[in-house]
Amino acid sequence: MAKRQDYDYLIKLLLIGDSGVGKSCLLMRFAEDSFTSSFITTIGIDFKIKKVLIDGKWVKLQIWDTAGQERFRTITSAYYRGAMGILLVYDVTDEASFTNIRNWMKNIEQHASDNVVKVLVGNKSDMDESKRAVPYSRGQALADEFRMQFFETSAKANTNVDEVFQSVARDIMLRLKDTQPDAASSGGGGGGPNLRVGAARPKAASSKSGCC
Amino acid sequence: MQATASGPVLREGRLYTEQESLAGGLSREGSFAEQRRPGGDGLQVVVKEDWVGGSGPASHPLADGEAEGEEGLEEEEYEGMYPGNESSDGYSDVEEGRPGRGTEVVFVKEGVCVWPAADRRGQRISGRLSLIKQSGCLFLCWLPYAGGAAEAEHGGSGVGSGSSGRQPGGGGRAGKQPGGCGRSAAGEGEGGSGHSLYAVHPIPLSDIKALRKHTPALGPHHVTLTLATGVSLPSFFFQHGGVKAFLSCLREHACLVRSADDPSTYLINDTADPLQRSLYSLELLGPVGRPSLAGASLAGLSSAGGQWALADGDGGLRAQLSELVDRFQQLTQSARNTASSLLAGSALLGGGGGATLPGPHGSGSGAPAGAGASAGGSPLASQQVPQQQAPQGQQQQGQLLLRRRSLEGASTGVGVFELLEGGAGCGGSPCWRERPRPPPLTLAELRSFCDRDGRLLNPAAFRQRVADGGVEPEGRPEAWKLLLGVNMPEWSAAQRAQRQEERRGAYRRLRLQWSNIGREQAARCSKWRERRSRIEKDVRRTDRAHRFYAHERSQAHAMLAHVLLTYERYNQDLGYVQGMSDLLAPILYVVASNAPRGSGGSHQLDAPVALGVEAEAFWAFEALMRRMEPNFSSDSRVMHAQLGALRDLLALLDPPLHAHLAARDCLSLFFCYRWLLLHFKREFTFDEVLCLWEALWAGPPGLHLYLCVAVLMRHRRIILGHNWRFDEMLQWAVGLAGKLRLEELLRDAERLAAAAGAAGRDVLAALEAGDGGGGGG
Repeated sequence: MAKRQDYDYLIKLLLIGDSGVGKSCLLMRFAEDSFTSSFITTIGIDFKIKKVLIDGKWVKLQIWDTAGQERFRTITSAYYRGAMGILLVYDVTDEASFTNIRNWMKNIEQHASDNVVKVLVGNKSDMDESKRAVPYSRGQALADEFRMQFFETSAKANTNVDEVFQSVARDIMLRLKDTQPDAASSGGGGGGPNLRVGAARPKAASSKSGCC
Repeated sequence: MQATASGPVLREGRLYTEQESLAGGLSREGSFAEQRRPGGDGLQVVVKEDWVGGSGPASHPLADGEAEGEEGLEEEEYEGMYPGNESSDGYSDVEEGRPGRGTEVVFVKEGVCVWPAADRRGQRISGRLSLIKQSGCLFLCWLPYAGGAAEAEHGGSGVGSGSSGRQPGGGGRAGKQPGGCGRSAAGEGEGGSGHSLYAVHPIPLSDIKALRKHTPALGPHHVTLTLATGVSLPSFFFQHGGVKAFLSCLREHACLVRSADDPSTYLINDTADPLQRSLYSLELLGPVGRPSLAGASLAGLSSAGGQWALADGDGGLRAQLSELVDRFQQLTQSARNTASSLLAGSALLGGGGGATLPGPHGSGSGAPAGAGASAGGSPLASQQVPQQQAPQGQQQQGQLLLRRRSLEGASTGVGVFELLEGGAGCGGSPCWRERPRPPPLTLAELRSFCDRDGRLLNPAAFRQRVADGGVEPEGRPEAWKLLLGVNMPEWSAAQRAQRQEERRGAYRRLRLQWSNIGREQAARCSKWRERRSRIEKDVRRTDRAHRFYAHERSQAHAMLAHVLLTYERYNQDLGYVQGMSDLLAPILYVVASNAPRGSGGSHQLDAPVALGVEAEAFWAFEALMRRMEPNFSSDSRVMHAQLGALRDLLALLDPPLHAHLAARDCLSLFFCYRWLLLHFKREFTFDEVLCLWEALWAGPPGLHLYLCVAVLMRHRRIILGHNWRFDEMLQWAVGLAGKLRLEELLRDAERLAAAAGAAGRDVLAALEAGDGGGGGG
């Protein structure tokens, strides 16, 4: 399987949060730059891939999108294991989805690896202020409590979406550099897409995900 | 891994390729789907693995990022105003989307009669004779008018179509026939339940061997058709002429070769078969006996057919012809007697006095010839009267040698199965023979399955017919209620109407349970609020790509929400779980599609009509949920059990693939999760799902599991060719949505179910015993 690779890093991300907070829409916006309010519900698990250039490195993001409803957690939590970064998403107009973030945190503690990078995302920030149920400050406070980054986003208005994903990816790359210094250094001089052959791959491939 | 794979693969390949036979052999490189054509058993050519790559994404899904996650639904056009349009327009849209598209009626003749009694003293039965072309194959179909002669005048609405001949054992069917009891043959009408006995559900032309034209100086011209099995259909009397047109239409689609000896007799070959066509174009003697015949039909017949094919034009031919015709007559007679005696038995069992079912007749004009044959709802039924069928069935079982290797030892329960080649002389294996898919069941044909009071005469034949050909949109509301068990087969039309009223009342009461929850009360019930908001959120994003649900805040959305809210009240233990809206949407659409639209050109349903639609959709959904509910249980136990059963079936049917997945940590089969949970709702287009689900409901239990196996095996070359780990497998599986070919996969699934045989049934039984049905039957 000595296949030519067209990326320097393969990073696996996971989107979790209550149903209807806009996880799939964030992903659609990020991966395909499109938005529809009538997107279908996610059943089980779905995912998309996007390649981005971060700090001169080509990063292939493999983003897993999960069903929000609690009923599917026994299935979806099986996917936590291989995730290198997790985006916890709530809806700023839905108080319950924010309170539930604590439950989602418990899930992460149970199923995800310890050094997983987390980020808190308050979606639907474009909504009218009269509809807002969770002020920015509360989101920030919660993020601080769990020592993670915080973003308010709007998939609809395309605010902060790229930033969230880039930020997580960058954090993970930093950690990878710490653990795999050679992988970090052999970038091929800021590299075009096809310059590197097999580097980050083994790391990702060895993180057997999803099988329980 | 690869090396060990190749051996069994070939043998399994036979599973898939049996039908391809000689014709298939000519174009073996072509895609599997294109080779769907009648007949072709007998010669068994083991086709190499090419079929595997025939469908689906050919490339590594990881090769380009674009391929992922496409949803088939999105490809549909986004058009039209809710609720689409007039119901009739709606149908045409639906038809375009159906997998069996390409159904075309090429000939219709109204007022074509059969005479139940040989001497024509009895009442004739008038009906519609049609030739239907579907996927390149021609079908002949004759359906009696349901309501008597009056319908003949305006009977053009429904396209005649009906049951394939592929129906299970004629004996049981005949035994169940209550039709005709207690009614005089000279009774008032051509209606009567007896008439449905004569219906000729669509027969592929390849099953028709010969045609004899009768042109008496007095009285209507008529034709008698003889099937390859030797059974004759009842003669069709063209009351208003049209024999010539019928023949010339046939000639357009088939090779009709006139006998030199008897100019009124023709042999028929379906030219849909390219082999036939090419042989024909060589201007050999014409009606070359189809290779299929050699295996399919009775030994004597086929040999006659074979010699016929090779004989040259003169004396030899004449002799063969008369021999052939003689044999047909003999066989017809014996089949008739058999079926008649069965019918006589059923009449006694039925207890009705004065049964007037046709008894044994002399061959006479041939008019009653098919009486026995069509008694089972299909003329081909007599092909499978027990006496003939039983040994064949055993042989068939015998062909399938399931040899389990160290079952106890292997934790995966790997069994190795091996198909022994059945020689051409084994008497054929009708069930294995690939038959052309018959056109969908129409409403008219559905009615021909019922007696005068609307009772379904033979549920098994009905189900088989649906499994074979699906249902036309117009027939779906009724057919689905029967398939789901909302209506019982034994209910008469009056009883059904009464039950519908009762259901409506019950629904209305259930609905009050939530519609009466006021703001105050809702404020005190967070669980209710949460479920309601979830339903509202999900309704807005259910099947929006389909025109019926395209517009937010439409009546369709309101009805969808109402039914789900009512179900939440009805089944509070389960509540609402995501995915349920996916299960309801097709049902609601089907129920609503037949409802009368509002007055004044409005597309909206009037309020009482909408309520009635909701009620019917609710109870159909409730029936479906009784099968599917275990899938949604909170501990996912049943889903895991189903994945386990799928694992066992895969081990049984494709050990190398099973081993490949096992070696790569993929045996959790979680990538099949959505397929199982929603029965492929997300993998096919909305209209395909309608066809798929009715096939699953009508088919054998566990068919959805075999469908999963079929999808994997169709792509086995891709899977085996890659060293995918779980992530990549999942990515591949997710990317299949909208790219699967329903019809061929369904046929595969049916074949796999048959191939798995008893071992497969054991797996399903174990699943069932663990209360893990999950929508099995």
